[in-house]
Amino acid sequence: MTSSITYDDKSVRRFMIASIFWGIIGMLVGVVIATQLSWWQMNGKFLEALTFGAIKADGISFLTFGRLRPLHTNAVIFAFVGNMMFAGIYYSTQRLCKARTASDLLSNIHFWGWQLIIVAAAITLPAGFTRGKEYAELIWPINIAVVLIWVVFAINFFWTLAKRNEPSLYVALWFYIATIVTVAMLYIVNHLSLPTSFTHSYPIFGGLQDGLVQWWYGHNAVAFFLTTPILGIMYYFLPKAANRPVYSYRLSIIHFWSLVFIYIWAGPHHLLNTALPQWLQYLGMFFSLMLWAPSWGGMLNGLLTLRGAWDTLRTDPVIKFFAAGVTFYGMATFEGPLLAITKVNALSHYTDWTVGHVHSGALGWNGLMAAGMFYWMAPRLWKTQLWSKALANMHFWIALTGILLYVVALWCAGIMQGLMLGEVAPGGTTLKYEFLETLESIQIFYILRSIGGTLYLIGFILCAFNIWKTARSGQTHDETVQVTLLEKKQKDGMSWGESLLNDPLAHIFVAMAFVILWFFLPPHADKAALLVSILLGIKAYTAFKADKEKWTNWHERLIENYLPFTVLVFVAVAIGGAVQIIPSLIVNREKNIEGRLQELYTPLELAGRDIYVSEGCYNCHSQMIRTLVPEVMRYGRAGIADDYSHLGESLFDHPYQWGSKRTGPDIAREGGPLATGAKFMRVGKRGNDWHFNHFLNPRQTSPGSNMPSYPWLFEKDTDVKALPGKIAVQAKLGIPWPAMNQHEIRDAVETQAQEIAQSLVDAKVYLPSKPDLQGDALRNELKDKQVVALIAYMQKLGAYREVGKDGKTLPSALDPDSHRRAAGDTRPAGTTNL
Amino acid sequence: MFKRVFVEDWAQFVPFISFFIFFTVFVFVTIRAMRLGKAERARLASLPLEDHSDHSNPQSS
Repeated sequence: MTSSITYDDKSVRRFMIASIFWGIIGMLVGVVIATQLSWWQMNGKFLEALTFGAIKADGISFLTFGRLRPLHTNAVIFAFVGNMMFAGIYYSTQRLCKARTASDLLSNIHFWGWQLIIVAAAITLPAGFTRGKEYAELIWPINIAVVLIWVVFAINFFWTLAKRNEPSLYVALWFYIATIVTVAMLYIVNHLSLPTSFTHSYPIFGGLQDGLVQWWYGHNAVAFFLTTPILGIMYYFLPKAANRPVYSYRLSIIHFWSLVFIYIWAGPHHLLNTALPQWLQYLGMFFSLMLWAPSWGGMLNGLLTLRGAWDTLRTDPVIKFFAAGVTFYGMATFEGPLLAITKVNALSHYTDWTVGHVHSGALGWNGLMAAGMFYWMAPRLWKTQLWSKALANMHFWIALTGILLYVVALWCAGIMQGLMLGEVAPGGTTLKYEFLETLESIQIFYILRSIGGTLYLIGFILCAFNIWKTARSGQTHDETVQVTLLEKKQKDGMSWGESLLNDPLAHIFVAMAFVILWFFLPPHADKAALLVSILLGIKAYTAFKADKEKWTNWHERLIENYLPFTVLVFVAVAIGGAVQIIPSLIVNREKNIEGRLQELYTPLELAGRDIYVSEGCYNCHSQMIRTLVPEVMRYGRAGIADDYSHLGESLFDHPYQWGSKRTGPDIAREGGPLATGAKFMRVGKRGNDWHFNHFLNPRQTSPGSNMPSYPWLFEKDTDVKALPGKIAVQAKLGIPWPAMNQHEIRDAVETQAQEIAQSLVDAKVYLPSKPDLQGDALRNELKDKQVVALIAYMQKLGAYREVGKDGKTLPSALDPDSHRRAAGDTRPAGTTNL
Repeated sequence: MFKRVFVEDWAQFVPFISFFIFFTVFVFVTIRAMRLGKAERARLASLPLEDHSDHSNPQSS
């Protein structure tokens, strides 16, 4: 029986337009923050010139790098690529299923809900409302909205699969299934938080746990938000554009299963050479290296699909964009594993090399694939011709030039700065360059990067103009097709038992479990486990020989049954996360720490930390001295052995603030011991007045610095009222705060703030808004200001105490400390280092 | 002490176990892909090209 079906192309048009709009906004913000690295005035001072002096400020809070960089990353990932992905998925899923999207209402909720989320992000992020974790900055009410809208999308998608009129699920749909399932899992786990107010929360994970969960999410956001859906789009749109089937369907099967299985394990490569346990570092590195194979398999499958159609590369801009996009996929996925090798990572991490790598993926892979898809879809969605092929070609060449300029500039900047930071002065006992010297030496590359980014933005504006003119030249068109309706028994007929307990398959899974037991069981039991696994293997082989067809048909049956398929995908991605994260959740607790244990913050220091997070300082400063000689030489303290950052030193940090990029130096050891005679005030590497002047005008204390000025920290009061609620939430999270009522908290804040303010008065600082204030009047004015809380936090960084074990046989934290101790470090426990 | 050694020792095995699991899945998937019939491969690969009732067929591609 046949029927006429009209596809919902309205949703596709909407998502496409939204993607182009938000893409331009996201890229524009990217260009602005790129220029901020070269000219500090771009953090707000430039408005003075633009408004002829009407606005006077050395910096404006909502325009600083720390607040705009999260806006840029979120806009590009979730708004630009997100909307592009939804456009591609809605278009291709309907056609691959030969069915209209299941619910127009859900499509509408999905579209408008997603746009509202983006608007909410665009307001809250510059306002300083953030969770302080990269690509996971959005505050908890928005997180809930994201999950709800994602569920709406998932229901609509799977409902469409259930209604399909094509029995087999094409490989593009597999990648969409993996995207939906995995992003949901990653997003929910990494955003688990306890709210302290409507706009603030603390992540339930802290320190190492938070770092691991963050990069399990962060890496796989790249994998399952920026890669797998675009691969699905590649597998659908590239054959369409080339008008020939995918080069190898076999290879696409291997590509899919290998990729979803390997990708999820590679997250720890973002924490190489840190205090992260060695086994996790090896895990991250091994699986990253293995990613080379499926990634290049996918790239070759894409490029070889163009076999016989290469001549169209000269004339068809769509093929140009797709070919270049897939090539950038190959280049970025070659570079990624390279950067995940610990020795290469020692040089590249925290430098612009990583930023260049990310942009070769985002601009080259995502951006060019998006443009190719838009140019292909727009004429079909408006039933017309593309307005200008020449303009599309111009877009291509401008974008390509921009990407190459951008990426090469950041290769040079990253490698050069990395080498300079590690270079030892003649004599071998000191480092040759100050941090600022290395920053100044890469300024030319920063300028080239801004030019490259601007070119790419111009290209995309041309794309927007071309699509707009195309739309104007035609009329909206929803495609109608005749399809043969599928009877219910022709699809999704596989039982759960058949899919999961299939006769040689089940034997293989159980045999694998026994092989794993072989590793863990005590002597003799381990041999028995090995024997059982061999017997099961033989049983699986005989079952296979007895009924080959049953086994060989299993996968074909599976791709005609979306629910068992989805469950297997979930199992594949969940295993990797569980193995990485669960051991750390169990073992890395205060009671198991042996060695350095973080000193608790005081209430004022906690308030200062929240300001640090809110201002996005983690975007430029790390708090993690890696286990590398030059790092310990640069950031460690003289005369203290093994002064890298130990796991216990950030155990109570919710969120962790190890950072991923050093535009400024590491500040893990910025703090110091209690000042003489002070109850709470500490003084570290630098005095309180140095920090005061540094926040006011970084160039005054650090000539050549590109850090923004923070004049509002000298005007806004610290939110002391919120502290009791925040401390109560932290206590629920397991941080051993001493029992304090709100009056005691307020008193502690007052005492510490007075001590710091008095030290500033003694150092003869002045308050810019009230330059005439002096003495007690100045102290009383200063003590409530945010800058004082921030100074309190800075002076606490790196404070810890040595703890020993009490003889109980508890599992240890998987910390290099224990290896050090095993190697013979016998310093007495309980030694206080600060 | 025993537990500490135990915990650290098993952790060292995790990368190998992970690799083993992946390798098994990889071999399984590869064998399955290689045994996929030619006609079925051709049918599955041509699925995106089947929706040709769209007659707007613009110039691009």
